[in-house]
Amino acid sequence: MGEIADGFIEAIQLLITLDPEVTEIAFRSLSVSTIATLIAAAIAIPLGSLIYFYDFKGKRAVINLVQTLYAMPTVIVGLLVYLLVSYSGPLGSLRLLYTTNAMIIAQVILVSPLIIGFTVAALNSLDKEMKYTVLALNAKTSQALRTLVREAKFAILSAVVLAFGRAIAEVGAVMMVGGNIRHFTRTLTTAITLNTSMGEFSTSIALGIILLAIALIVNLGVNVLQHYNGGVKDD
Amino acid sequence: MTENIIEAVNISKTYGKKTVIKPLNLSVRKGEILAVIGPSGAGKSTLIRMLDGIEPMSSGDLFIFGQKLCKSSRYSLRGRMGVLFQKTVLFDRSVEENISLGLSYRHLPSAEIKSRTKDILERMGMSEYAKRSAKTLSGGEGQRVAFARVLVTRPEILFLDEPTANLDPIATAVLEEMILKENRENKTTIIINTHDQAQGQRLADRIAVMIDGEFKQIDSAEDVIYHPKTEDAARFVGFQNIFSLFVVNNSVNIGGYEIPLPSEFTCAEKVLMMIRAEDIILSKESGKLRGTVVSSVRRGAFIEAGVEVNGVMFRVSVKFRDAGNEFNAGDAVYLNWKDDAVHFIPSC
Repeated sequence: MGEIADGFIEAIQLLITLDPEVTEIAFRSLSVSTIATLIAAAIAIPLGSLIYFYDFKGKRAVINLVQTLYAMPTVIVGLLVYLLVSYSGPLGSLRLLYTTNAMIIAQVILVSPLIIGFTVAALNSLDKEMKYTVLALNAKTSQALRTLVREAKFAILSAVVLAFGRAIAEVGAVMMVGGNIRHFTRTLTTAITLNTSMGEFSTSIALGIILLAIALIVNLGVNVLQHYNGGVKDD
Repeated sequence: MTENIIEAVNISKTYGKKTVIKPLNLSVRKGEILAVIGPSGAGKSTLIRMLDGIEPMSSGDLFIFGQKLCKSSRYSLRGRMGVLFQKTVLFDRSVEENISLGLSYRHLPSAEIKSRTKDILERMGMSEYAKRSAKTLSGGEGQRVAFARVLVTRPEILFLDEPTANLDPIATAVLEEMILKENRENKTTIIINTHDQAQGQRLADRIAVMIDGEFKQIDSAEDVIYHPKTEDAARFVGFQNIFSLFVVNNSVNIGGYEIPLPSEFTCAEKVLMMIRAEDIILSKESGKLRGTVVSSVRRGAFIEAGVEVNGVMFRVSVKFRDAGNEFNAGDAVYLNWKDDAVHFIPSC
């Protein structure tokens, strides 16, 4: 019991004094996951809206596959990216293994299905007549998609925020492709794993508090966005 | 083919095994107003979406402005048409931005977009709404904005899908006046879907009766209302008395009263005789048929009565002001009608 209580007190001290290592790790986590989420959104929102817009054979199967990938085990993503960027892999020449870039790639792969699926769902929840209206006003496909995504912006944004939450909380993939190298690829989750196994509970607790706070902010963000979304729909 | 602005040949629509529109033909002249009337679910909305090229046809050919509608021509043809949908869709933007959306899709110069938007807002008497969020408008105002958004693109063909279904009578009258004005001033060809036959009669040059994905009749408003060609079209336009009768000696017998048939029916075995409930006159003194009132229900300014004559049931509608409390269940009454109120069609 004493060990845990001491750990807490020490953790608070680390946070209050803005311990350089703790802040460094927190900022790395934030920046890696933010970049990964933004890249994923840039790919997944257009992709999701195209899936929504076109009726094609196997559409349902594609959506089912995307939804299955929501729960893709992070270590599988880690393995996949490891094989891609390892020195003998297809992207080996880029020397990405054990860099933050490899971690970003892993997180992009991890969260893209989530954003694709939620974008399709958000657009599907718009009135069917809205799609007709946009087309009847003579929108080209790209114009129509932009207008419709804008109408579903709150629902899509909350998917992006959720994706960020999944990215920053993930540990398996970044550990495998980032290597948890101090001052280089160590993130909140990998640092907690390491420190806990070494018995350094105070640092783990401090980092855990930061991670929880981020999760809380993410959740608040989603709530606010969903409130706006609901508000708009209610007229 | 060039005279008609819309020429549909055998167009149909099926979703999986469900047929929504059976193969049908339609010709619409430039500048005319055609009302498509029919019950909900008849396929009217699907028809409009097909004509605008939003809904792909399952079969048939469609020529708009003399040009075949296909994947490559769809976009440019649609640019010359406009649709006002039954459900008002407003985007989460200002009224002004909502109205100019179709113009910005067409990449018009921003000065022109601005001036056209301003003009249409003035014409609609909505200038003070320009900056307001479209989401704060009432149903009637929203529908006016949606209408402005279509008109501002200056469509040559305008499709209106139940445009007044959700409006109160005053807003309906305002919108109907705008529709007629658009047709008069800009010679816009208009196709309007409505389940309200009176609205079709008020607005349209011709009326098409659509039931179960088929046109049962396309005629002048007068003919559709008074001379329906099929039994279901007759029921839809309000004929409550439809009797299937055998032809004997070039005439039919209804409840004991003999009516000679027009010459075109002399070879028929059976005919359908129809008469509107409001065309039957009730009298206490004398008439063509004598019967008994079996039911009498007051409906607004009218009394709707059921009168039995020798086993035949007539539905009768009389003004309460005329009838007062004279016709109650159990009373003996005489039925009368003018000869031209009776309409015959062949029975199959």
